[in-house]
Amino acid sequence: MIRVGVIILLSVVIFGWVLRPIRVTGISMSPTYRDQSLNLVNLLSYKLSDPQRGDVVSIGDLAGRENYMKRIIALPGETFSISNGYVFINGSPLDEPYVVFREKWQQAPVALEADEYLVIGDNRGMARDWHKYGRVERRHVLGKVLF
Amino acid sequence: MKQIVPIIIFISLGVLGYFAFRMLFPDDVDVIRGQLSEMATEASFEGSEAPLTKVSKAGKLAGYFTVDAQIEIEPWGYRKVSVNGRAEIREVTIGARTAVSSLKISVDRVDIVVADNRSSARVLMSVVVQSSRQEEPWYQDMDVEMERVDGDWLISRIRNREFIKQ
Repeated sequence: MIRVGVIILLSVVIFGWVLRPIRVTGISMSPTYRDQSLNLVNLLSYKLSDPQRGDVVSIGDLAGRENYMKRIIALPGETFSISNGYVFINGSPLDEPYVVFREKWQQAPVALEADEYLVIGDNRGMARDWHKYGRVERRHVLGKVLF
Repeated sequence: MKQIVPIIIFISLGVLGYFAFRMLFPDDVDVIRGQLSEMATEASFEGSEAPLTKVSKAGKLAGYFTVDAQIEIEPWGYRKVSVNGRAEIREVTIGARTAVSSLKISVDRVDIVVADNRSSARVLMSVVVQSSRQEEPWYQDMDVEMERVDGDWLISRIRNREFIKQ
């Protein structure tokens, strides 16, 4: 009985505050992550360190109800632009081996604020208007995707 | 031992003085936080209300807003709601209190930034609404602008908060 209680308590603690299970819905992270695949988000990953370029993260609203899985593309203070689907950071092209599909997205240069990150999904083969991407504040970056 | 007593009295007086000062001159952030919580309580109700009570409570709620306040909320899955001015806020509130038999509103994760001149403030918060019409609570992040008018903090604008910005 005690074991069951400990297991339940541990599960609540681990899956409530440390590892959050998520299900990928949609194709914005294709082909890296498939629609309906399962994963875990490490909610402690950015408690002591900052998100890094290339990290796949879970971002969400303050209530934690609306979540997206995206990749960190640009860091605070950087200026990004998109030309023919290729991302430029501070004027230099960004090497993105994870991008397989690429439409000719265009985006004029935007400077990120001190606590803002640019997040985009890996699937750039869809129309730009259908793909939710953009600037997010640090506090909306909930954690790093584990696998 | 005798030396400890005056030290304890001195520290106690200091603590009392601090709390007395905070009560007399509360921090803007604390005032706003308390006011938003109070407002959520005012907006919540349970059971049927007399028409006069509805009007009175709606008037009190509208008093938290500036005369020309703007509310623009687009609940997920619903059409955009735009309300302009204190009078319209009062009307909408009366309508809402008539349409549902119970409403519970609470604010969560309130983040307040007061401008340097202490005449305006920006509040980012999460609002949770539970009504008799819906089984599931409704969550929404909101961006609230406030102004100090005659010493009182009033809401001048409420908008949906999009956390991914283009």
